[in-house]
Amino acid sequence: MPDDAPTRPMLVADQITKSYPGVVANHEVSIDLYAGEIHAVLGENGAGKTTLMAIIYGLARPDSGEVRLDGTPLALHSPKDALSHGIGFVQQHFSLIPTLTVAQNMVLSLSNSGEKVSVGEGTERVRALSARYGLDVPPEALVSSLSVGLQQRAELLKALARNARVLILDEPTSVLTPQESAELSDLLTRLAADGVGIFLISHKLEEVLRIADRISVLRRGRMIGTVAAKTATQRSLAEMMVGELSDAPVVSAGHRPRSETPRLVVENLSVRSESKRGEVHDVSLELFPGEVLGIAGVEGSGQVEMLEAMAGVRQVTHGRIRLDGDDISSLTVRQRQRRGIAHIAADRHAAGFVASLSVADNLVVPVAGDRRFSQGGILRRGAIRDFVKQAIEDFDIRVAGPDVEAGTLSGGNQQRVVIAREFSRQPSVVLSCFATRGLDFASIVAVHERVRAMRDAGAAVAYASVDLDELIALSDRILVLYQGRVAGIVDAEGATSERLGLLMGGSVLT
Amino acid sequence: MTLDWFSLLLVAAIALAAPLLFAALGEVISETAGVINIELEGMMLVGAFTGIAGALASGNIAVAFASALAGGVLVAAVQGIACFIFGANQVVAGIVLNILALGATTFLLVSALGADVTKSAVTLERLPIPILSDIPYIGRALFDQSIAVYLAYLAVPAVWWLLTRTRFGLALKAVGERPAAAESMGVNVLKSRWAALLLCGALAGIGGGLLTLGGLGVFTPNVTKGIGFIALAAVIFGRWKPVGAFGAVMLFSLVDAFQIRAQALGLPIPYQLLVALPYLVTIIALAAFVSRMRPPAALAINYER
Ligand SMILES: Nc1ncnc2c1ncn2[C@@H]1O[C@H](COP(=O)(O)OP(=O)(O)OP(=O)(O)O)[C@@H](O)[C@H]1O
Ligand SMILES: [Mg+2]
Repeated sequence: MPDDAPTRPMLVADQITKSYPGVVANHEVSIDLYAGEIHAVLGENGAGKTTLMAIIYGLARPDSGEVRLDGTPLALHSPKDALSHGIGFVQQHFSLIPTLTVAQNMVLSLSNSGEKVSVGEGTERVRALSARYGLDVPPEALVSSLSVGLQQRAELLKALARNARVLILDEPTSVLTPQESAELSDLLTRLAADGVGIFLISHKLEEVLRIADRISVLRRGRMIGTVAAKTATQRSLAEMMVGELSDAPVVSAGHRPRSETPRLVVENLSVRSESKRGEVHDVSLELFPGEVLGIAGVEGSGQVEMLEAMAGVRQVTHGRIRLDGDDISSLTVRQRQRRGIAHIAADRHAAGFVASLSVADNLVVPVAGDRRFSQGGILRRGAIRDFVKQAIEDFDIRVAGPDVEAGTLSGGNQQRVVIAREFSRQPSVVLSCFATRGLDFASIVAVHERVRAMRDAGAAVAYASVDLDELIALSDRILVLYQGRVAGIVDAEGATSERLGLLMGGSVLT
Repeated sequence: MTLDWFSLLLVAAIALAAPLLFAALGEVISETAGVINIELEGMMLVGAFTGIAGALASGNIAVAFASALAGGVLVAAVQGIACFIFGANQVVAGIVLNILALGATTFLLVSALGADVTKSAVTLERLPIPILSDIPYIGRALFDQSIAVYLAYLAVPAVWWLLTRTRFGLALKAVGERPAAAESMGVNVLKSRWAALLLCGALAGIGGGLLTLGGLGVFTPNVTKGIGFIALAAVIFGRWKPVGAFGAVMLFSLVDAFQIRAQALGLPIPYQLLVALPYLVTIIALAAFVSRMRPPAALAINYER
């Protein structure tokens, strides 16, 4: 809080309780927000952070408890009510309409606050606000053609256009590059200085310590406490989040002998994409058993499409993919899976995660053809149930039971379902794209441990991430993509974020 | 085959196209908002029926069209109640409504209109536009039609404008693409979908009414003969755009007009094959193009908060 902080909080959520079948997402949670402060909210996956914010925004209704703004209780029946009180929410999944332009999205959002503007006026508004906050968002671009970072800015503009006094951001930096994250931090600090109160949900302790004024921690639906950022440390916060802390030694990858013959070879691969961003041009690479090949690049550099093509989800326009010498370019996803390829898709909603099916079904679908789980086309229900129970336990999926609809899980727990499904198949090739996005600290460590274990067991792993520190810690070699082309391949040992950052930005390495 | 033959073909095609066009435009609006109406056929059939009933009861063509519109809206309302209030699957509800519409209109034809199915009502007059209707070859086809046909063509730019240039249109696109996101922007998803659905019912009802009132003024069982389904196909073929749907409707209508005139010519082609031609073209067009089409993302998915 700035020194001249107001004495009364602007917004108070008082004794909020919210239950879903089988889980208490929030249990008598209280939190408050002063004008001009950045208040971070931390907690493990499924701790109830998003639920609490959804209640403040009127997206969900609490079972009991109330939200007060300037001392008066708010009757929030929908986001419309929250918006009219100047509460804005940048959600974990953006709430923009991809088939409309930024300006059209703006018009929609404004017109529902009672301000009737034309598309032309909407365009002007986007321009003016972009200029004022230095955000550089093109008003006439279709949202679906924008990078994730720009989409997030568009989302922010939407809230700012409605003069938000309270701004809620749910894991805003988990989709951003380090550069974009830094810019967002700057913007948030400036907004706070203008008197906006900001709730910031994040899993990145170091970032939170840097920009937040106060920090609140949730654990399994309960408020553990609120501390001043000045007095907190990464360790004290982690302890609040999980209860006790075990000292998990972080082993760095080091350099290990690897096999002579590559498992997977990509030759001159080109892939077309719906938008210009994400096209892949003439990429060649070799993936050896027993190595983790990190794939760096700003989002939209083609990493998503390249891995999709390798997994068989996306059509190859040109080039070849070989597995143990055989051309697999024209094999189906299924056939590639049988040959040991596992794929964690960048967007779980677009590939491989069915929100309307149960957690158990999501886990079993790709392995259902396995001899262990079916015989002559008949499912062996007992074996399946055991497998599902084991996976839920092993991957620490926080869910009331295997039959819960997967779409109701918290963001991080949905990601765990996908990881559990792909990793529990004992793959010999792992193609992983942004696997740890949205995971809390402990689960990220767990995923890294599994990746290392698979590598040590001889699997070939391609691991894309926008987090350079993660890549340096986990990889043996790092391939950098820039605008769909290979900008360079470097050894992880001795690689620095600065050097990789230069390559990612298109500066050629000598 | 002379130029005159083509001119007559065009006249027939445009008359055939108008009812289809009303239904297809209504469906474009509805599907944009994420609501699919398999019962488009049923809407048209009921519209055709209530249109005739209104005409017989009042003897007034405006009243007749108003009741055709109301008939379509009635079917839409039942669909809305089933899907938006009771959460029924849109496709299933649509199929059931089609069966219901056919049964109900056939039954009522006998019990309410009386068994005299050939009793004819007032029908639409042609309204030639001076000068324009004298343009050689195309003048008669385009400018010597009934007012309803002119309105059908005006409806194409009107619906385009509605969907792309108004806030209402943006809201429809939003709820058809990402209802949850639309909701969080403050759009009322259910209200928008109701509006789109009822609008579709109204347009399809008028289209159905035009079938009977614009023609012989009699209702026969299943008088729509599946053109509601062709309108559905035209929406897909037209890529969910009003102008696209117009193009698709014109294509089907030209083929249909051709097969009617070909029958009259007495060509040595089995007439069953000719009658099947428009449907065949529909199937081929869809099979050839459908994989490249991207429907609204939330089409046919009910929205639950
Ligand atoms: N609509 C819903 N239906 C049923 N359960 C729900 C629903 N929304 C959330 N939950 C449950 O409530 C709990 C809290 O979820 P929430 O999304 O608030 O977690 P979170 O702290 O945001 O986690 P993450 O860091 O993974 O995003 C979870 O157990 C989740 O499964
Ligand atoms: Mg969350």
